[in-house]
Amino acid sequence: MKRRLVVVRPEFFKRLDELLPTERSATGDPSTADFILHDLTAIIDTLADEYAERTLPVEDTDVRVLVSSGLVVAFIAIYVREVDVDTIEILWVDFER
Amino acid sequence: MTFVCAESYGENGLIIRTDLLVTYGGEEGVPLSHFAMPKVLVLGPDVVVGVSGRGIQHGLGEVVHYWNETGSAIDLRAALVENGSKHRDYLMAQSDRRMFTLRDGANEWTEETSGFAWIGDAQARAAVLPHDALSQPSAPEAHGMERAIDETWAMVRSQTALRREASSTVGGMPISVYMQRGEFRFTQPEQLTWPSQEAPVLRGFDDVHQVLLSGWPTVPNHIHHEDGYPATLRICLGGNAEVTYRPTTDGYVGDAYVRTDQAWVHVGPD
Repeated sequence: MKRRLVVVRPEFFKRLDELLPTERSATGDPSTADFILHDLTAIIDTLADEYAERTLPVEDTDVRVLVSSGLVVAFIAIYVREVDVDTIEILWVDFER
Repeated sequence: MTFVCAESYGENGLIIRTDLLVTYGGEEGVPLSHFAMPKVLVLGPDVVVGVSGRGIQHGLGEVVHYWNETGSAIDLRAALVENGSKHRDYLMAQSDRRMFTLRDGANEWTEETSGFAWIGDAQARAAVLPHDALSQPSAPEAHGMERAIDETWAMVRSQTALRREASSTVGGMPISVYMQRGEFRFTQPEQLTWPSQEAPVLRGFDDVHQVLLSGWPTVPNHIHHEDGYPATLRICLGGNAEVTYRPTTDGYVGDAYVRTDQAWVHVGPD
């Protein structure tokens, strides 16, 4: 299947700023940049190549969820939806470290 | 032993989760062995049963046997009580969101009315995250977002309980069953995502520093470039940094190179 374009809503980054600090802490807590660099890239690749296969449907909605494990964040829930046949939009994120 | 839990959420959601690890042996003269097996059965669109304890494969076989004989949830519960196994516990969830447990060969089932039911390893139960462990500020407006958050939160809440770190008797891949349009269905296995290149092991500040110094990353990013957001994308380790940022024409961040052995790394447009 053709690789899809993955775009990110601004709310995603606002949410990320709420979840993680802007700078890595002295004790090694990851920053937003750590997450974007080490985890988000792989997630975007997954969504671009395997959106339907790797996301879970949610009843009667157009939102789907990718539940994943990352490198700097243990459990990640990425909320996405299909904008059109070529484009996937990332809406929001939640995770547990 | 194992861990099976069920949780209701939102207006009509219900999820059942378990691990895959089965351990046997370990007694005197018998080596401890492991194998993997799902411990929940979707018996029909409206009934799910999970089994924990000793001889899980035998317990699952009994559930299927009694289900084929009785064909109803209430009769299956009666048959399992009559069977009276003291070595195994059972959890039953129904599409009307009623949940029942049968423990230690009791002579009746307990209906769990708190919205959460579990059987199996108590250490794993203790690792289930409390309801308020994740903050949920207002999410973007999108059809079904609230439902999606409820659903995944119910899934993530028990994730720590299903890992080997929670107890030596649980582990392997978590298996989930949840309701869609009033019917139970298995979810597909959850994925583990790693960068396509060899992933560095990051245990703390020193590891990150070493990774950067060793030339990783030259990272092919695919981060959407919107409203100049990558201008705030940075890795902050202190000191000074020199970074080349090369955006691509399609709006994606291009390669970001860390070109210094100093500890300040900033990735973003000039």
